[in-house]
Amino acid sequence: MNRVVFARKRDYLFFLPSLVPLLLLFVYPLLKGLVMTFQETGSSGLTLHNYIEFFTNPRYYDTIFRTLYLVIPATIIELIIAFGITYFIRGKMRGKGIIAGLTIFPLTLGSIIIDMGIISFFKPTGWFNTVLINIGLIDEPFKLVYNYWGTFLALIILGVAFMASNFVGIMDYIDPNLEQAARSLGASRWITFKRVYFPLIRSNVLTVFALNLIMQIGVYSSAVIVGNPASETRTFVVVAFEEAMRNFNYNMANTVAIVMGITQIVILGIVFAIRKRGYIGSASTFK
Amino acid sequence: MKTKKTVSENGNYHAPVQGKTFIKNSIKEIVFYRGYQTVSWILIIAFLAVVLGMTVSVILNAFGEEWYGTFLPQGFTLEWFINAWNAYEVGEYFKITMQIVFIATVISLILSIPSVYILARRNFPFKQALISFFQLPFTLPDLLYAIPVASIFYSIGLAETMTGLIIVNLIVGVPFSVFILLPYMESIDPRLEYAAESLGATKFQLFRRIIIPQIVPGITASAINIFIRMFNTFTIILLISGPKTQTLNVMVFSVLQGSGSQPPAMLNSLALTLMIPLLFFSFISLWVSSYTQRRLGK
Amino acid sequence: MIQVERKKIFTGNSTRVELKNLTKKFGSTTAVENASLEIDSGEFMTLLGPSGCGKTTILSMILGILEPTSGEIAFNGQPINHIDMSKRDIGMVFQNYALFPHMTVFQNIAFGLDMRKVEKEEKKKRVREVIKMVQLDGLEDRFIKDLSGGQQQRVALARAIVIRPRILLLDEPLSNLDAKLRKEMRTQLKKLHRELDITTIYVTHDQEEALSLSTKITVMSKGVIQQIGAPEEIFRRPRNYFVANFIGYGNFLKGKLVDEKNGQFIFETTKDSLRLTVNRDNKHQVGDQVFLTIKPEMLEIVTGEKTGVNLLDGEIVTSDYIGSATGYEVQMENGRTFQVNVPGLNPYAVGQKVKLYLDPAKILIVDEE
Repeated sequence: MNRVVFARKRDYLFFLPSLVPLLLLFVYPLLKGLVMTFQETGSSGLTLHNYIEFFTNPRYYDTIFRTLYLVIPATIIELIIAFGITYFIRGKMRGKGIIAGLTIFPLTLGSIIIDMGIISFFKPTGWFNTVLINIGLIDEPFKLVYNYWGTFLALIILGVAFMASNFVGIMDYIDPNLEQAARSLGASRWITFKRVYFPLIRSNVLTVFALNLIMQIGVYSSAVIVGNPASETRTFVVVAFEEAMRNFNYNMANTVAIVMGITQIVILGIVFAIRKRGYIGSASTFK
Repeated sequence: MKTKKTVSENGNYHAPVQGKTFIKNSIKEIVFYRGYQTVSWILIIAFLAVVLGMTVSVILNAFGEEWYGTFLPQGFTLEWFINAWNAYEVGEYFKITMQIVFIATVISLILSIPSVYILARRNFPFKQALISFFQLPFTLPDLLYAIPVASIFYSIGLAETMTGLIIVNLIVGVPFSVFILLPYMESIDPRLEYAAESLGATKFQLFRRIIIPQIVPGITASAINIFIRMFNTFTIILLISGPKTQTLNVMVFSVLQGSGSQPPAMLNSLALTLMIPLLFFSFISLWVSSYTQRRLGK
Repeated sequence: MIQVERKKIFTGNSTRVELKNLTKKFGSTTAVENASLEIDSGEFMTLLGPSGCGKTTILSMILGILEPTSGEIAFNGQPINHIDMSKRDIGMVFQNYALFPHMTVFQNIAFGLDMRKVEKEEKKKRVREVIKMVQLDGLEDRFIKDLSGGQQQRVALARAIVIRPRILLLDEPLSNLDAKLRKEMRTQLKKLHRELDITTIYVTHDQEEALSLSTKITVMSKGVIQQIGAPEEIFRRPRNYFVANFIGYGNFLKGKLVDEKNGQFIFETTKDSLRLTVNRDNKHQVGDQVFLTIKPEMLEIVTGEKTGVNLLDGEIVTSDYIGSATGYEVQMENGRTFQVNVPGLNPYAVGQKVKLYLDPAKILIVDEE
């Protein structure tokens, strides 16, 4: 334990190979990007023009609402599905490996392939609609691609996979004896969940939820491929890319990125404020 | 009755227990639990059906002859796949991608290993802050640095070049390899190094003869993970890639983005060309991690 | 006097536990096979055996974590196989204590009372009572991580007994404590059981613990009950090779009872046809395949002239001073060795030729199975 030695001066040299590229490629662009948002294309004087433009022109400020309108309902549903599945298969259950593996599987495929899958599966002639029509539940196929719902579904698939992959680990960490102790003391399954299990995983679940939320706020390829990027799924990143790649206005593009970053921080703040109001600490059994 | 009362008045622990002669289950709880189980199974089956359905329908689409309104395609053919492979020069992009990602992985490892060593072995002020700093590039939304990097790269002429794409991959690669190598390095017993040092090894020999061989399993596992991560790098590559220098996923994305007139089978085939290497890499990664775990865990 | 008082106290809560032909299979492996066991109310029953013998599986079935594959568990004659574990009224102390890390000591102990909707004043009173009983006064508001191992163990015990359970189950509760603390807790557990007079089932692999605490011991091996009996009975008259070995007997000789003479059996070993005389017991007869066993401290080393039965020639090959006695390994010409404990410090030298005397009255006959 105490074998870790205090660093000598020349030890710091070992950090040069990794820190120099990071300073040049990450820190410097980050700062430059921040400055860029206060400049107009082609000039170097500082101005608030980009931000004023963002918050007065609906072409820009609408992205805030459109993104959140898409992402917040999606992440809440993802939380419910991912939690429901992983909670059900916690502990030693037969088939746990297969269920967990398949739930997490979309994460391996990545967003572009998932988008393609959404198109194939949910298009009007895809399996989803064919099955529903054949069993007589609906007469007309649902329109689920190239609109809000296409992106929504893509977010759900990837979000559930991401959260489930984290929840499995979190739940494995909870000693099953704790639940059994509560049950043997007379608690029903529901009370055990409410008073013992949930308080113990609450903070970790919220952290994963927050991570997923801020990740999904950056949705891009799904918004473009299976959504309708001209209106319903015009998210932050869609607009940022439009500014950068079509208008070559990097200043405005970065302003959009910064507003997105701030939105993410605000949401993170809200989730962590909620998280702070419960038990935060080790969920393991002490020995 | 009388005796019981006396006892509890005496403050004895054994106060009377009222009528616990017969125990039974609560019907409400049983019904509630059955309901919960049913809902959970529906949820699991529905979600897995969608995941499998999506994957299988991409594959069937890619290899199906004609598929309209029926449950299964009418026949199977490799034609779409071959067409897509040739029309989009998948082989060429695949080669470019592998070159970029492989070189960037090696550079990332070389640049990060010395730092990981110090992080694992030395204490110093703000160590935790430094570790957090290393995590920043892959926790922060990549758009925040991607746009300025693109504008810088365009102004100095690195954009749309292989060198540019390799360099840009390091933004994710270096911190990510620090992050995943650190646990491996921390698990190596430092006493081996003291032993080597006491036998008169120089710092360099120490590094080459003792530390490197020990973390080789860790490095291999990490290298594969870094490789997969870079293979999936998207945002920043999209911003600085040119028509001839782009990675496979950016190419696939560009095709899908403007895909109005293409037959769906062709697009599904294209998606498959991206899916197959991904599945292959994750399989390797699983295999290597279970192999190293077996070796480390004896 | 105390006896009488105890009886009075325990009219409402005493529970008799019966296991009838209990079997538990996990896939193709059988963890518990056809176990039948009766535990009287107020009994301190220990399930003793090496790890993997099925003792924890039995405990889990009584607690309700596992459902038996076949057989029945009954409390006071009522089958409880299908009763939910929350309704069984069992106080359980887990091996790792399983204390709720997000609750204070008080909240942990009061949890079971909350579930029983005990009103606030009564709850406080009862929690205070048990806290006193397990000597945790002043620690009510601590969180679990701020307690020592011994204190955690006592919180777990308090949490289990505060609900006045029908049965108290303890799963190796002392195994995470250091040797000194373990002894202390053993005394305390014993005292507590005497005070509460509650039916207790205790699981351990430590035979010393089992002998000191229990009123009855069940020895298990490979899922099968080997012997049930009072501690003294188990210790004095182990039924078979496994029990004898586990409880600390040594010097096993495998063979057959070949003859009977003057109330004594003649025994012959299978391997080297060594003949020994042993006092007869009424469980065995001529022709039985058995083991003979004799404790190292019951063997005698004879140096002078002595003739008669059960005298074996040998040579001392190792000696090991173990405090109050010296342990020797004596080897016979054909290579067979015996462990002998002799009081005092090194009375014999390594290499010395000696005679071993196996007193026919001190040899025990045990079954193979």
